[in-house]
Amino acid sequence: MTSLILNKTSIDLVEYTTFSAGYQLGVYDLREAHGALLSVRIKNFSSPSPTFACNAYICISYTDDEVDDPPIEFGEIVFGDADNCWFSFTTLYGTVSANDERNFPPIEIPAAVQHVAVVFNDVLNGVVGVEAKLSAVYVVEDE
Amino acid sequence: MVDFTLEKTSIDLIDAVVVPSGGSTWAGQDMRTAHGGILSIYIANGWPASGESFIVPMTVYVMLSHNSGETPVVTYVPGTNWFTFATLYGNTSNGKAISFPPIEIPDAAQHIGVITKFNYGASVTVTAKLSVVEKVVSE
Repeated sequence: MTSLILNKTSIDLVEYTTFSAGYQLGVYDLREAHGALLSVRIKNFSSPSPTFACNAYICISYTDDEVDDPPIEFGEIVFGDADNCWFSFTTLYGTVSANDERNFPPIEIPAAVQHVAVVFNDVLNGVVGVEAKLSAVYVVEDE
Repeated sequence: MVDFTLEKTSIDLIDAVVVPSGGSTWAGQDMRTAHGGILSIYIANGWPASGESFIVPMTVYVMLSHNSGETPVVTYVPGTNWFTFATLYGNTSNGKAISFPPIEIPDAAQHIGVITKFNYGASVTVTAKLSVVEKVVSE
């Protein structure tokens, strides 16, 4: 008799950090994983609150090899690039309200996804705290 | 051909616990080797004491942890150890019971936590039942 259980790996895709311009990026290779679960949060501060909200762009790559980070040009993610093959999976929108905190429900990443990335971007004129944690699933035999 | 079946375990995560006004109850479950689960939550409002009224309803927070170690102490404050999975709101109707729709726990969840907060003016009885898919077994 064989019995199969799951072995899960925790990844700090983007460790909690604060920033006020530019972007924060995390990428993880899921080529051998049976899917994953992603939690994201965005926390605004006051004095000043941002005039442009921080958004979290969840991206997936179809590349069945190692992959470069999603290219970001002039502050925008370049999707569909032939070399990288990054596409949008979903976007989580922050706000410009002072002290607002977005604790998004977890996002299920399907088993067929080969690479996942999170890009926190767009914030301007205010500080935000961001964090993204991932649990990736692998199947093992119960011994 | 080999047949595979699922092995499931029922867990009384919170077993009809009476949470007094201003109180809280919580429980966590290690899901690190599990193939997901399903969670049902039922709350039943009590009655306020004579001369008092039910002011603030109970909120039930279902939390998710990505920790690869043991289940951390459950908190409803997101960040680091716990992240928000779902938030369920009660009401202030005296004696009113709510059975919430079940919440499917994905395979990748490492720990699940349930914590109640904020009921003021009356007690609330809380039940949280979990079915965990423990393993896939060949006959």
